Amino acid sequence: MTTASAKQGAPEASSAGVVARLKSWFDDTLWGPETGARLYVVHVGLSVLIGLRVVLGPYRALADTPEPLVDPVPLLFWMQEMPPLGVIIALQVVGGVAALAAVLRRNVRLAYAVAWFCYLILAAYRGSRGKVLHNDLLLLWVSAPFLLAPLGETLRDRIPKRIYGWPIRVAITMTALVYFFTGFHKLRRTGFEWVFSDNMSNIMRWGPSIGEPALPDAATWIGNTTWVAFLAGAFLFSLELTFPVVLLWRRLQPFYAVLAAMMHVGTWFVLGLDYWAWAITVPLLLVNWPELWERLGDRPLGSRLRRSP
Amino acid sequence: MGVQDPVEQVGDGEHPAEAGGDEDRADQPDRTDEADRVPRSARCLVGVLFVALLSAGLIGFELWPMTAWRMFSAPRGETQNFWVLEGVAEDGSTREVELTELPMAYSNAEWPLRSVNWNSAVESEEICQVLVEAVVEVDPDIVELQISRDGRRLVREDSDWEDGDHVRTVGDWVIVTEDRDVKHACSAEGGR
Repeated sequence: MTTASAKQGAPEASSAGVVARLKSWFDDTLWGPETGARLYVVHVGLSVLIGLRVVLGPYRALADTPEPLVDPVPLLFWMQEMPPLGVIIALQVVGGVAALAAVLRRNVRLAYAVAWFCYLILAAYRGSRGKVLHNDLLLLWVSAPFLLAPLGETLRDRIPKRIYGWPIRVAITMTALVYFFTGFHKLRRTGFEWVFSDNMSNIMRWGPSIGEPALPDAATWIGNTTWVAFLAGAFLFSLELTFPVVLLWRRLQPFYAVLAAMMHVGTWFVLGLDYWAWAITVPLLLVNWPELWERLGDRPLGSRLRRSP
Repeated sequence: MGVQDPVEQVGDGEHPAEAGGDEDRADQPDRTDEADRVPRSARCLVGVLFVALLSAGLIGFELWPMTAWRMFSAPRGETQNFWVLEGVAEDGSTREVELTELPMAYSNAEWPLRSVNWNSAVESEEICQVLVEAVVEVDPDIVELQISRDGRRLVREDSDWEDGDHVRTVGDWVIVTEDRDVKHACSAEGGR
């Protein structure tokens, strides 16, 4: 090979290398391996969360919504009015029982699907009153891949496999995208003035459009203390926009999980916004709980310590 | 150097030797397992989910459960419009009726209230009537309900503003009504 042809081949080899690395990263991000133990914990955890939302959610009160105040979401396009109370209660009972069955690993695929579907419909009812409510949407989206998750995994499955990993990796990717979009639309609609203006102060002063803050004095203090409002705004804005870095550096996932949970707990206190489903879902997905358990203790999750004679 | 008793980690019913073998392989992905492949059905589901998620997120439309995830994206300035209910008593006195006074089913009513802006008179009357029925249950003295667009402003507490315009105090700031525009009104007689 002459020097000229070698030089010509070098950029092509370089771009081919970049493409190969990107493909490898993409493949690992979505289809990378995880242990069956981690899948078990996440699958059970999501089933618990869905069950709690279905059973504890304020859905029964929706039955009293007068017809002129009903604005059905596209998923319920045929709906003219809210369903009778009996239908809502039935969905909560069926969904709750199904979620429990999924937790207890009884007919898991069917049970999980029934629970998820009941949750979807109940959340759709709640969102059919004119305002887009995001309280349940993250959990609905990230739990969807688990509809086809493999079954039969246990806490003792500690060999990472792609068959166990894809639901978790896909859910983490979706989570990162969701947070990114919340920040992206702040940037798109308001620009950096979202941070570098009185925007955050005004958010605190105006308060929430629905609900009451648990600590209204804290919201007032943040709103009226310029540097605190600025830092709070900068924290929220940067956390959301940079969330996709957890797909590049997986070691950052637990840190972002903690920060996201803090954000949602904080917004509940100062704005009264119910995002506890988000606050629990994100750490459930982004933290490798079986691995953490092993690091904190001397034995793997699901094992029994026995001293040899 | 003393010899410590080896501590074996075993799963229920597992032979210690097997457990030890598993432990050796614990962190090594089994890349030679031909059966360890993501099923085609899973790839299809994931593809559909990502198309739905990305399209709504990037383009910015709402088609529940697809959403743009616009949460607090609009800038909050010192002025803001609110859609409010104002109850009128027999003696002509008025008071704002908070949606929190009504049953939970009415908590999101501010959004349907906005539709009064572009609804027909019949549709606006329907909305007003269901609300006045609920309001009268809470406050029987109210004989008329007004649906208003209330332009409010954040002002410093020590600035000039009328007592009657006061909505709420927020530390050193006060939220005051700047402009109230009644868009629709209905009487409670039909609801009694």
